[in-house]
Amino acid sequence: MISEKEILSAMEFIDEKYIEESEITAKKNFKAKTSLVIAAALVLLLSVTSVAAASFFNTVNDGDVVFMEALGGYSGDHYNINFNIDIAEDADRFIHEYYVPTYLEENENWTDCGGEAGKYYNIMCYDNYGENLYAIFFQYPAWNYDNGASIGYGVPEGTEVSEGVFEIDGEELFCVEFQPCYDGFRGDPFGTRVVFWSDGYNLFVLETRLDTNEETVREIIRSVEKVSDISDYVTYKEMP
Amino acid sequence: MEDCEIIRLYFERNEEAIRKTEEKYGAYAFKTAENILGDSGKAEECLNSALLGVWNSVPPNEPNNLKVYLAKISRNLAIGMLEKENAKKRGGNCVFEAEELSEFLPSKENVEESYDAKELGESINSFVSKLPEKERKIFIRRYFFFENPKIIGGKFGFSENRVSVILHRTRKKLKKHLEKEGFF
Repeated sequence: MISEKEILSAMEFIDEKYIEESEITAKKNFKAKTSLVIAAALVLLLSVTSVAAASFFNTVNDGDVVFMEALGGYSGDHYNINFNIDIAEDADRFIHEYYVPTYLEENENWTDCGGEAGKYYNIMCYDNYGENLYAIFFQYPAWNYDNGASIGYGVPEGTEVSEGVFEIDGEELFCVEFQPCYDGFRGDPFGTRVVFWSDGYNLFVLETRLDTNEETVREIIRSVEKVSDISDYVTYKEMP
Repeated sequence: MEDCEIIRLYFERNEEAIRKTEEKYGAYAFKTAENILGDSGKAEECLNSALLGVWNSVPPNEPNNLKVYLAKISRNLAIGMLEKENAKKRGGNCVFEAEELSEFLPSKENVEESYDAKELGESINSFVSKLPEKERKIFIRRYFFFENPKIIGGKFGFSENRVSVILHRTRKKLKKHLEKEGFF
């Protein structure tokens, strides 16, 4: 058996070149990356169409590593889902022919959560593992509202959409919050609150009841950050 | 002054070597110790001891990389100093968070045999060499330099959470590697 202290002591024998190498940090312009996410999300929120999406996904290079993971959890009235895809091939085909049906089949709770009206998906794409982040939110199938409008993400026309930086424990997270989404779901008047946020790497989605207070939402968000550390929740899938 | 010239001063037993080393790499070695101890006064003490350590060991040693050589001595001294202290006195700033590794490793109480540190070091070295560059850098910043995820994130342009996720995954890989190598 081996102790953690022995591990830390053994780090002394790490090759000097790696220690030196670690000094040279490949500093990325995180702000630029975050801006990209925000810009992408906003564009998509304003006009998510298959054409726009296809064009957007064309920025992903062929041959990039395929990576997909899903994190999911359900607790009482709250769902939190996080799934990422690293698109290697035609994104449109991937989403419509593989991803969506697979996800629907394997995540019954998700459809329960959304009910007939609330199915929605968020897709996150990397052009390389974690290097550049693109986010797209779309709805499947499209919601049908009485007012006939299903714009952007699928938020009913006239719905106030706020976006901006959401700060949790001093860490800035991109957030888009929609409320209310729909008031007919489950026959209750409460509707749902959907919060998206990203730490620049993962995209998280949280759906709660509208009457969930903000502090509870923050608590959930904190817990989701922990969930992201639980690899047992992660599944890796091969591109078909 | 180039490292080779400084080392030549050590070989000549010229005390100017210590001053030049401190001038060039003192801050680096100080930071390494401070990350572990979370106390600038003690880190200063460590630095002085580390400089003395270099003086006492060169020659016969002839380090290829004086900077890393000094940092390693400073690191070892800081870890040793920390071990001597009462856990309660370690302070909130102490970043000796071996608990991260203990997620996967048995506690010291269960240790029935002790592995040769060098043998283990070689195994970890082999593991580290196979990591993607970015993961490797982050792993070393954390477990060699004891930098916290927030600081590492700042250096690499990642969020603290992302660094934590990367470290978590790397630790899991390390566990598998050590199992394969027979350390478990």
